[in-house]
Amino acid sequence: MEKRGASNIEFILAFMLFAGFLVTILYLYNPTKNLSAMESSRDYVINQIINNASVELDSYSIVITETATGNIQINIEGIDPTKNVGAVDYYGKPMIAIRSGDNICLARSAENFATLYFSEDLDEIMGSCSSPSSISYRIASSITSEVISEKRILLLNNSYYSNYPLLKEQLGIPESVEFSFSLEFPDVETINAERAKPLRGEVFSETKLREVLRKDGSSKFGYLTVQIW
Amino acid sequence: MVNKKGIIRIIEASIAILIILVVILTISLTRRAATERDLSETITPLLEEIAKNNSMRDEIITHPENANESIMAFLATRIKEREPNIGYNVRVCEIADVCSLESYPSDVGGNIYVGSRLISSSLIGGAESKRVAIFLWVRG
Repeated sequence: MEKRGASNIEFILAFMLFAGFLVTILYLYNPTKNLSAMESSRDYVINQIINNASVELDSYSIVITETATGNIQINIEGIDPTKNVGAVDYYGKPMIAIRSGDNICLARSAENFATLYFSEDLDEIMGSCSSPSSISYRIASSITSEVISEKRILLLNNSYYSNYPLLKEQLGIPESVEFSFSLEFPDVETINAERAKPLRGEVFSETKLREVLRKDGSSKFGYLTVQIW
Repeated sequence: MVNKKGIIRIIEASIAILIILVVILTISLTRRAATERDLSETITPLLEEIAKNNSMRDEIITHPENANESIMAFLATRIKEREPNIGYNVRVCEIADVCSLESYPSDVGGNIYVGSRLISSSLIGGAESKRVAIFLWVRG
C-alpha cells in the first residue's frame, strides 16, 4: 500500500511542531530585551521620582528647660522666609506652631520637648497660639536633610493619572519604558500610581525606605516602590 | 515496507527543539548571573528610623536588655512581613564592646550584612550612649 501521503502529513506535522515551538518561545521570552538596560532604567526611574519629590527639611529639637506650662515663643534666626513651620512632640504627635518672621509660637500644654520642621512644602497651620511666654528653652540639635514630600508624591500621583505621557516626558523616561510607583506607610496607607501591566514579560521592581515629610507636618518613614516593564 | 521518513522528520524536529531549548536556557541563566543583593543599603534607613523614634531611643538607653525585643518587633514589621526570605537580628551594646552576633545563624545563604549606629542620648534616659547593630542576611 502506498504511504507517501502519510509521510507528507508527518513532515508537515513536524514542521508545524517546530514552528509552533519557536513562535511560543519568542512570544514568552524576548531574547532581544536587554536585562541590564532594564535594571538601569529602573534605577533611573526611582532616582528621578526621588529627585522630583524631594524637598529640603530643616529640623530643630527644642528642649524646654522650665517646668512652666503654656504657649512658648521660640526664636530661630536665619530660616528661609519661604519655609513654613511644623511641629511634633516627643512621640511624633503634631503640635500647632505658627511662624512670624524668626519667631515661632508653639502651642503646648506641658510638653517639654518639641521638634520644629521648616520646609516650603509644609502648609501654614491654621490654629491659635496666643500670648506665648518667654519660657526658657534650648535648641538641642539641628539638621538639614533632603526628604521625600508627601505633597509632591501626591502631585506626581495626580499627573500620573491625568497626563501619563507628559509625566514620562517630564521625568525623562523613554517611551518604550512604562512605570508605576507607590509610597507605602507601614500600618497606615499607601499612595498608588498604577496601570495595567503586560500579561507576559518581566516587571522590574525596586523599593527604598525613605523619610517622608507628611502633609500634617510630621515626619515618617515610608517605602517608595517603583516598577518598570 | 512502511515509509519512515515522516517519523524521522518528527524526531529531527524534536531534537532541534531540545537543542534550541538548551541554548535559550543557557543564555537565560548566564544573563542572570547570580549577584547577591547588597543588604547594607537596607540597614542604614532602618537605623535612621530607630534613631528618630524617641520611644525606642528611650528604651535603648534606659532598658537596653529589653530593647532587643522591641527592635526585633520593629524589624518584623519592616522586614519579615515584606521580605520573608531575609533573616535579621539585632544587638544593643556598650560603645566599647564588640557588637557581634552571639551565635552564627543556621539559615544564612550568603553574606551577613551589618550596620551599627550610636544612640547617644534621650530625653528620659539622659546622656548615656549605646550602640545598636542590625544584622541582615538572605536565608539559604
